[in-house]
Amino acid sequence: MDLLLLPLLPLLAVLCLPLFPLTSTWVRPAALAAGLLQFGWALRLLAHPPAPIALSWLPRLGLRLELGLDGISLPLVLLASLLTVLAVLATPVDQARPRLFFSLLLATNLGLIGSFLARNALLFLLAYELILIPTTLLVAIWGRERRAGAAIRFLTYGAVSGVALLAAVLAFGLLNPAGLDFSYSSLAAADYTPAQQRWLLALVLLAFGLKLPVVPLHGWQPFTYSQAPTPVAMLLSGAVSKLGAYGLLRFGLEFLPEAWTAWSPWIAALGAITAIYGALNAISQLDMLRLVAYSSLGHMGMLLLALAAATPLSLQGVVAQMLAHGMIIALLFCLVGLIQARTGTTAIPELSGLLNPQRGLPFTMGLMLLALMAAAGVPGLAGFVAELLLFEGSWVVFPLPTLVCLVASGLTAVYAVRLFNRVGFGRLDNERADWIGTSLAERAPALVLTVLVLLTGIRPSLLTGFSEASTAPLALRSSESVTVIAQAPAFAPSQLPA
Amino acid sequence: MTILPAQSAWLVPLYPLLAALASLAWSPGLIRRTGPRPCGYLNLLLVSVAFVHSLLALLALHTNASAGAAALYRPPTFGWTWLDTAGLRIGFDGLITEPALIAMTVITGVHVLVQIYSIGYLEMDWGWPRFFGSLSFFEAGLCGLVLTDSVFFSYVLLELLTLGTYIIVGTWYNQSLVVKGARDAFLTKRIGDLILLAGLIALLPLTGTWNFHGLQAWAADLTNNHQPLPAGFQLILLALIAGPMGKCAQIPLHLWLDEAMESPLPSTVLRNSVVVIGGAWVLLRLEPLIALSPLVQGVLVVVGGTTALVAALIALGQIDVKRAMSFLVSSWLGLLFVAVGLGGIGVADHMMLVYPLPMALMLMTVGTVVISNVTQDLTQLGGLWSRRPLMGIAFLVGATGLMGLPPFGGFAALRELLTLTASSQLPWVLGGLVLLTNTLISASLMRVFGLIWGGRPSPFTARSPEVLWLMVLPTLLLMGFVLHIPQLLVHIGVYQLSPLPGWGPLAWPLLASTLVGAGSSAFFYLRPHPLAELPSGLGGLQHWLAEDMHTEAFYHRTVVALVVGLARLSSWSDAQLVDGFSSGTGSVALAGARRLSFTTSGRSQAYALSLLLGVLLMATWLLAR
Repeated sequence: MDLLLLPLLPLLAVLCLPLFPLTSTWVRPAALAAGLLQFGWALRLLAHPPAPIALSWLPRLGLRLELGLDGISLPLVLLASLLTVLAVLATPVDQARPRLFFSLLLATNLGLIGSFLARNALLFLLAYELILIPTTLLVAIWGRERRAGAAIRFLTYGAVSGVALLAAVLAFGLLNPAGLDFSYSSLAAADYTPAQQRWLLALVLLAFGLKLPVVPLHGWQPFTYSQAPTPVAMLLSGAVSKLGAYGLLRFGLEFLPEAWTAWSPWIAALGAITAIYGALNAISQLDMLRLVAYSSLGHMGMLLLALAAATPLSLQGVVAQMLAHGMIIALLFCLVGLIQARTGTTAIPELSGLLNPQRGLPFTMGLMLLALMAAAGVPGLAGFVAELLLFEGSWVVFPLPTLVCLVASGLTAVYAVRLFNRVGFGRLDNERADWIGTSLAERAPALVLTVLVLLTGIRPSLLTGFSEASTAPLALRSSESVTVIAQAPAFAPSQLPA
Repeated sequence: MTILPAQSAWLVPLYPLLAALASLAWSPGLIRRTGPRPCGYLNLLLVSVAFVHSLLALLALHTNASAGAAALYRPPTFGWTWLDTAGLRIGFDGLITEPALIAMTVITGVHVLVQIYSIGYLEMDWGWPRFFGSLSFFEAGLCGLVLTDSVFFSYVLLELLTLGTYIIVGTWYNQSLVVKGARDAFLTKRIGDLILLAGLIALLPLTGTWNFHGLQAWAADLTNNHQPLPAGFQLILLALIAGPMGKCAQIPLHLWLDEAMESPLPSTVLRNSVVVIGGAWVLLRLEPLIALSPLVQGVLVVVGGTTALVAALIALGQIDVKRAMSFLVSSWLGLLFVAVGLGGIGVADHMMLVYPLPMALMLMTVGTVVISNVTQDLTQLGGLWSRRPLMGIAFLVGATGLMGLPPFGGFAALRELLTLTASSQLPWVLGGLVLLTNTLISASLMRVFGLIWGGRPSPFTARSPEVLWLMVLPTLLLMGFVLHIPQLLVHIGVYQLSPLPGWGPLAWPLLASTLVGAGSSAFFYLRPHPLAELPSGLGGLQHWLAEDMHTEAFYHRTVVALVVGLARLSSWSDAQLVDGFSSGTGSVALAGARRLSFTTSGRSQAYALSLLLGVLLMATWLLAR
């Protein structure tokens, strides 16, 4: 029953928070406590792997309460839980309508944790659909100026994704040769005909391609990310979008291996296009939030490439990229949120010289430089580990798309430097620069993420250590040409100079 | 003396790294309480510790006969596994060899001098923590670079140095030229680094190793078994040399060094002396692979040769003294590339040994002039020989160290290069290239000297006091070292003393080329106001050269324009197509909903009619089954 505590904590919080008195100052601490407890519990599960749960729920529908953790979902649960805690921390203390806000935030967390824990497709579907409503409301009520349009668009795209997933999941269960059964183990073992696989994969790609998102299904993403309030943008980009990658990994790669192999060149090409398209668009943005949003799009493209390659190495890269990108993008949104809180704008042309140690925001900008470099894949930071694994793992299968993604990685540096040059460097505008420095409480989420980005960049086993046993069986191709000889000891005595 | 300092030499990069990390505490936190200076002193202290350690390690290797010999032939190794997943193991794999210790001693030594120098140069500056921290970061990266046996970690460190360049060039970030320089330096170097990364990624499946010694063994295996080169290998090699090309500011990736001149001068001293050599170091370690492919060797010779000649010409036209020196860096390293391309690994090694100290010395003297005369425009300087002879002598010592003038350090290396070219396939072309480049470099150095120290004083130099001892002392110390380079090299057996260090075949033509270049330049520039007497045609040529032959404008019209154009196109398509479609679906849904809302008219007859129609339809369907 260890596992049940993970979704029960936010569920309990969602139910209790609205009962707090209207003027209570305990709402934020309570939400924080729920998140922290969940994160702590997840960390404990890291050391003591829990037994999976399989209980009957609605047998006639094939819905069973099947929960489990493996090397892929465990780090994602940790990420989702951590980002929830940080999102609560990044929420201003004087947040308007806190009871509703935090309830919705924790409901999102509930959906996320449920999706990652589910070992039953129908259960996954339920949790997946649960996320859409609270996130839409969070954007619609607490968003920036054009929140209404953003929320509608997010809802529309999310609904299409949900319908496609509903169709896919129902088809998975109904076509299952073993009878109406939605559990992952049964789906992974099921033998669908090639035609069935193709149709199923089309639906799966539509559903999760919208969530990830990939070009051209990304219409909602820059708009929504740039209109969402900071904590929601952190959670959406950092954790919710990972559902797309996770779904593709489970439903595409694991359940439909033949169709996935057949289509993978196209998927890889789509990934490369997304990567370069996202990076190019980020270069021409004039708003920091939109820039970060497009940057996220580009990184998702690289992730898709590695999923298509499906070698053990590239799949390790997928997990690493999910975690690294989750942290880096949340950090970027958090920092842009801080800048906006102080300067009142996110427009790049209106800002300059923020690195100024006297009256600028030197601390925030220092972290910003680090976050941008992490996004650009500079070594020593989390993003590089992921990109290296992605590129090396995909190169042996798809050299050309990998090269395109490398170019995209180069363009990443262009917009990173462009942003920092305009906003961090330059002269401070003396008329406007009378800002109070950020307090430790405001910096806390960014600091935590920065430390993690640095730490995982220097010790990459923190990113890749959990998942190797789980990703290896999923690989459809081999990356042995890269790895077999690389296992040899570093120095053979005969090689040294004599 | 025990061998212990050598075995623990892996600690050397960690001292400056620690200093760099500690500097973070001052920016911006501690600075409010202590001011910026303690941070600089802390950096200097740790950098000195690093120097002492690497010097002890070098001495230990030489003085302890038995253990030293064992260490020479079986270098101490140390390993640190960075990543080990899905069958891919990447480790730092350090190797403490004699060349690495020599390089590390030079790097740390120059850093100590430069940090003392910076205390004087940045006397009144508040950006100390950032600046000193970056200097120490550079040192840590370079020391790591010479210790690692992994080409992958070499890439990692080169990339980190690129980031360091961005931060250090941006030290005075509220000036727009500085901001532009930082951006261009970062992006140009990053292009080279990324091509190198692509090469590395493609290399691993072929060789199965990223270790230099493993690659060497692989190449030897290929040669011994007379196997053909793997498909695409030459392309990969070309990608691999892009990294060193970027680092050593070779055409077409030379732009950054010029732009990086916007950084404070002490960092220029380091960059132009030891940091650029980092690229050459990696190139030399890749030599066993390069030797497999005549095509890539040819490319190296062409790139290096072109850069040597063209950059020396451009240097002759520069008005800004820092830029004049920076193009000479490209030019000299171009000659080094030629040496590697011709397979002369020993020659390249010697060139690498004699280069850093004279270049550092000249830049340090230039710095003392720039700081007290508040201009770095060569046309506004002049006549300093009567006021600052000490620095003039120091500059001349540095200059003689790089031109082919016996008995100074550069002569032997350049003569070896000349002999190497004479035995190549194109002896006249390449030999002529070396001689011509040497002539131009000598002329350029004398020109800088003449414009600063020769002629009559200008309004800028009329009153030019000697600078703080903190800048003079390291400069003169370094001058002493530079003068001793030939003796040191003879002592450790690199050159023979007969009758002068490095004297040998083809010494006379080299000496002649130096004398022609330096002599004609001295004739023009040691007289008063020489630039005013330039004929207008030559003035145009000089302007063209001063503008770096409009390379920057060329890049703006090609690469930058391409990226900007593509970015605009994709942004347009996103706004028009994707966004248009998204908002289109939104408005269609809203319009549909509005239409549907009209069906609720409120008239009960209409509702009754629709009910009736529905019942009829259902009945028909049931009957039809």
